[in-house]
Amino acid sequence: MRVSAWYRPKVSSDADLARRIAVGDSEAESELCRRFAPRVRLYGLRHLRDEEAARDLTQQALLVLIEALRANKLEAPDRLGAFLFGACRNLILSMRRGERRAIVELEEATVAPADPGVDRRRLASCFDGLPRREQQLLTMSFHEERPLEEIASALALTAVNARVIRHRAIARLRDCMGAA
Amino acid sequence: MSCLSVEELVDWFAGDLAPAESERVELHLFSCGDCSADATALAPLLTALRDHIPYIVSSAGLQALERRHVPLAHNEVSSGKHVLVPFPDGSDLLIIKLLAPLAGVARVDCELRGPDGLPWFSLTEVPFDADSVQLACQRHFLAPGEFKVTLRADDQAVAEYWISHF
Repeated sequence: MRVSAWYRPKVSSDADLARRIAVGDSEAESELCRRFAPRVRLYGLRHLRDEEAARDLTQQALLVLIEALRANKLEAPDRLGAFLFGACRNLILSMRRGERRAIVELEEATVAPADPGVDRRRLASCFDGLPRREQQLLTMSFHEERPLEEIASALALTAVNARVIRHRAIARLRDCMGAA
Repeated sequence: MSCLSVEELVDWFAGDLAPAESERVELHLFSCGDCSADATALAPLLTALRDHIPYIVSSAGLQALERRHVPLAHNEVSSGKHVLVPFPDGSDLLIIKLLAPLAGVARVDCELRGPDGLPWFSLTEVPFDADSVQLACQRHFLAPGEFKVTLRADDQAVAEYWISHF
């Protein structure tokens, strides 16, 4: 079945986006960036622990992907996620070595919007309402960035128990924040 | 790989998965729109927890703040004193070292009461060093008047401080 030039499917698969980008479809490039920018940013937040560095990674990684698609270099266009994951890993290694690609400013659509953020006062209130053990676990996990094994030892817990308490704390916080 | 639970996402974000497991989760997050959306929805809370400064800061917590280049100032206060500890310009966080003899102590509890005498917080098992507890004062939480801080070590009152910032 021939598809008219003016028709576009509502939701394109990754492979379809890849094919369209290879023939110069800039709208497909924007869609690709909107789809994958949040994933890269999340990966950056996890590994770089810094919002600005995560945004930097997002720009660089998407540029690598788009350049590869434009040049039709992807062997498996239906596995864009895997390609991007590999690119992110390599970029972070480079960033840690102090190397920097020239940052090319991409269209605004490539940059994942910053988090709407949480209400910090609300968070403080909800946090203060947690049992003490849960407060300790969250502080040691996320603020102090200590490994769970170390936290468990410091609090005289097993690692399994520490993990369960942490999950319970997160669930309580989400309920409390969601009830705001 | 089947889709991810909230617990897996939390463990992954906290860096507590084994390398191979972490890599499997990450590959899945890049490939699955639904899980990616769930993780993106969860991330603001986990990031905010990283920035959430506890009332009493441990040495590890202080190191984390310094790693993140948080502008902070330091001061110290001895027990039994009424002191004015103003906030220096250029910092939103003041770490006050509450000096107290804590060597050999198993557990320290801390209570802070506001100028009206009402408790602001009462915490058990706070982190401590042999000679001090580190109180984190954030500028946006300040209020006029004198605050009273009490430390108890192994259920015995060991130190009191009266602190005002204005």
